[in-house]
Amino acid sequence: MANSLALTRLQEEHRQFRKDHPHGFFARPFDEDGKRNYFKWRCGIPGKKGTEWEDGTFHLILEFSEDYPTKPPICKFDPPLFHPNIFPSGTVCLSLLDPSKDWKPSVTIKSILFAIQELLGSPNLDDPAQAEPYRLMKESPEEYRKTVREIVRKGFTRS
Amino acid sequence: MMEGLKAEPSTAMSGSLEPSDESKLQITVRDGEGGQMTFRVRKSTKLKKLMSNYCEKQGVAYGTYRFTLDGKRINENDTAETLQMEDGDCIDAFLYQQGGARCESE
Repeated sequence: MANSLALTRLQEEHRQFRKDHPHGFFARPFDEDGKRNYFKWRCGIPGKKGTEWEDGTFHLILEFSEDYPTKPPICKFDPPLFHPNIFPSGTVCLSLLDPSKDWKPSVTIKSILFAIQELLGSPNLDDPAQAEPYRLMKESPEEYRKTVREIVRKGFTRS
Repeated sequence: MMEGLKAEPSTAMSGSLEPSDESKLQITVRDGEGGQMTFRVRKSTKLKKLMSNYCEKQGVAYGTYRFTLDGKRINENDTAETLQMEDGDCIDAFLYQQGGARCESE
């Protein structure tokens, strides 16, 4: 049976998110046969204005274990994104999501999504997770941005 | 641990002086420009009413905005009850011509 601490926290996170979230972001537990699965969420992050990700909305799946919030959720873009710090599987590589680095149980889902939005526009080349965007960003940031804009325009905007 | 709900000034609180009615919820609609409007709605009233009131107050035709809760589009026949909404919940409004608001229609 689910750890009640994790479940209570996740239910509260959902309630708070519905009441107070930045426009365009969403976070909702999966609906499984009319029942909410609070351990698996679908979230959406709008690309930040002024970055190559603007005008897109990017979906993520967050998976929580019963050790949450001691342990962070696994955050995976679905579909995966072309970005130096996102693994080809879509999993996000971010110190905030690493329990041996910056993760703290007090980090809310809202702040995770904000941090990931920030990461999209500010890749960290010291910690690459995907070869091609890393190479392109390193060799030609301009070409990288152009490629991302094209990907966003083609697959992540509502026409 | 969690950030509390901020007290927000509202622009459409005409019902706020009525005696408190358990079955009415305060629902806020936010646009992408920082604007917001608060409505008091009955749990069983179709949300079409809220959506058309919002458009009317914005001075635009019904259908100019798309409304989402949890990233899912709100349908005309949905009610606060069917969507399991609570007092203080927020709805996002998107202008139709705006890009970047992909949401699935599950």
